Amino acid sequence: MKNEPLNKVDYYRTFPEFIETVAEKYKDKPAVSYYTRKQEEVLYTYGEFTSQICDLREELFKNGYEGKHIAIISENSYEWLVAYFAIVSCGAIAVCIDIEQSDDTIRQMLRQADTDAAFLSETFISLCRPVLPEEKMFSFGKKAEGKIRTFEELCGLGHESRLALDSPRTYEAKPDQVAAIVFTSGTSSIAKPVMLTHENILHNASDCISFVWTYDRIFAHLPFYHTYGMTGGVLSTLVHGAHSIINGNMRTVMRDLQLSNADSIITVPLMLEAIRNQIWLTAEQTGKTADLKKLFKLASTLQKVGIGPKFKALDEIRQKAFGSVRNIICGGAALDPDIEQELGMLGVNVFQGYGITECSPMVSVNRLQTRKLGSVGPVLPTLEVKTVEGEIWIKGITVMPGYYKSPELTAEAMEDGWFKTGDIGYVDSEGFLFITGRKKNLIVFKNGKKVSPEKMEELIGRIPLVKEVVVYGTASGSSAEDIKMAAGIYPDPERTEGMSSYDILAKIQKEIDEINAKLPFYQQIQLINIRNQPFAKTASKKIIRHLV
Amino acid sequence: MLEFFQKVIFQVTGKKNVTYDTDFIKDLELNSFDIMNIISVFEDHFDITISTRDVWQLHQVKDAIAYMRRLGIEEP
Repeated sequence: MKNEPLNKVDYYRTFPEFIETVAEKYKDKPAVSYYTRKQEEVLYTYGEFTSQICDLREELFKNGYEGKHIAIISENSYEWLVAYFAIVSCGAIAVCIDIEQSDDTIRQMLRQADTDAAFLSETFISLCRPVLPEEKMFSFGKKAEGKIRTFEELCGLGHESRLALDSPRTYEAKPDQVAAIVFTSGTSSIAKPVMLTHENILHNASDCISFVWTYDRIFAHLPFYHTYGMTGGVLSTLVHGAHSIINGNMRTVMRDLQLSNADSIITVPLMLEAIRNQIWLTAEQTGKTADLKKLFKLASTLQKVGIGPKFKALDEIRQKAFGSVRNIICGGAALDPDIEQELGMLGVNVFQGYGITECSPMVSVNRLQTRKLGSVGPVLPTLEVKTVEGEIWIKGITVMPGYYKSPELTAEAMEDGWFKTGDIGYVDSEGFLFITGRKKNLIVFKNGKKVSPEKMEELIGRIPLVKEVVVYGTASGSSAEDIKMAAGIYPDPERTEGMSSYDILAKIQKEIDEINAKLPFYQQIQLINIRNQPFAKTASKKIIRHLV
Repeated sequence: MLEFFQKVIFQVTGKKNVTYDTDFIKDLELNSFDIMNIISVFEDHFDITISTRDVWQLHQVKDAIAYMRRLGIEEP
């Protein structure tokens, strides 16, 4: 492996230390910005951003929230970030909720994490009423009803309290103290609550930058409630005083990417495929498909003989598709190497990486000079990796201490400090990590989301006509996230007696449509396969999944 | 309204032959990114906001047209 030096970056061990340092060190530099619907940029400097964090933190502390569990239930926003940093830096624990889950799952997550209070956007207030009293709900909206208080009110109160203090309050946390609980798909129907410490998260954010430099303006559009979106997308930007341009809405992501004038983007294969498809669609609609194919072929041939050609036409396409972006860090799922090569020919560096929530999340990533097509790059220097019967195990400073209140799950996943990723792969002689499959029974989508089939099976299994069900992912041309969720169903012979096959399918389809309506597109069952025979089972009556 | 849907879907995804019964995922094989891009055109054109959780329930073109009508939008 080439001896590519690491980029110089500050490391932090706790969030109070991080907030205090960046507030001073980068005071007047732009920290976070976003675009309004009217395309106007709203910008906060490090001074303004951290000052608001300190206001909110003071109010939380004053109300006894130190050590409590506070959820954030909202799409990406500036307020999401302020709430997160205020929570973790006052010594409380941020419970990061995936808002794409069904209402029931969200409530289950809140209970599972022993949530004491929540910051939430207005959409989620009614959903939370069965779990939290009004006085424990803090709305990101401008107005709030009853005892619910708004984010702005809390910041205002905190600001006044800070002014009244004789000397600034000192906040402290231990590096091994839990800062966040983040949920990840388990192999059971219930999501697993991953505990991450202050040092886990902050160390990983700095490690990302030490490996791949992202320059000054970084576009962050992935959900903050996932560690990849938060640690990789935002925190790794803030640890080196750069500017995070955030987007919280898939509808405006392309618009904002263009407006942002970003140097780098942290993303998932779905986004890159969508941009690639748009390039080809534009070529088709303007009758230039053949020209584009020729140009790519020529560029590829020249690249093979070591000439990095500059074509004006390709430059124009890159500018139109990616704006000023030069570096793309892609993770969450496998990226088609053809796309990586095509984007490379456009003059964009694509760094495919690999991570897992339990490791905070980044484990490996390709670098500017240390890279290999098809690999997920060399492993971060502070982590150790080994394979046990083909499964990748990780050990090091960014590995979680365990799952919240789940000693059995933790014992299953950890051994002598090693975390068993459930992914199958190998490290080649040059130190590059390759992922070749999964040991865990999870379906991985191109948007980086993972779904456990058992979760869907539990929902479908509740349909009275269904006796046995197996959910699986089946490759499809270009459907929702490229993997089609399919259900093999053995109907209950007693309950379906006298019914035609058509009637059985129609009734089950109707019930599945109702389940689908509560789920995001990628999780929806798109194919139903009715069987005449029960599934093959093991001696312990467990369905043999790989035979389906 | 159907014609407007056909125009927007073609512009955003290049897909043709859209009818009232066309299913966004099963027939057009759109991913969530495509669907959100289509929604974005509608939001801008009609100056409305459509909640993401509502979008999950719109499977076919006719569901989306009925949804628009519920918002009081009859014609583009």
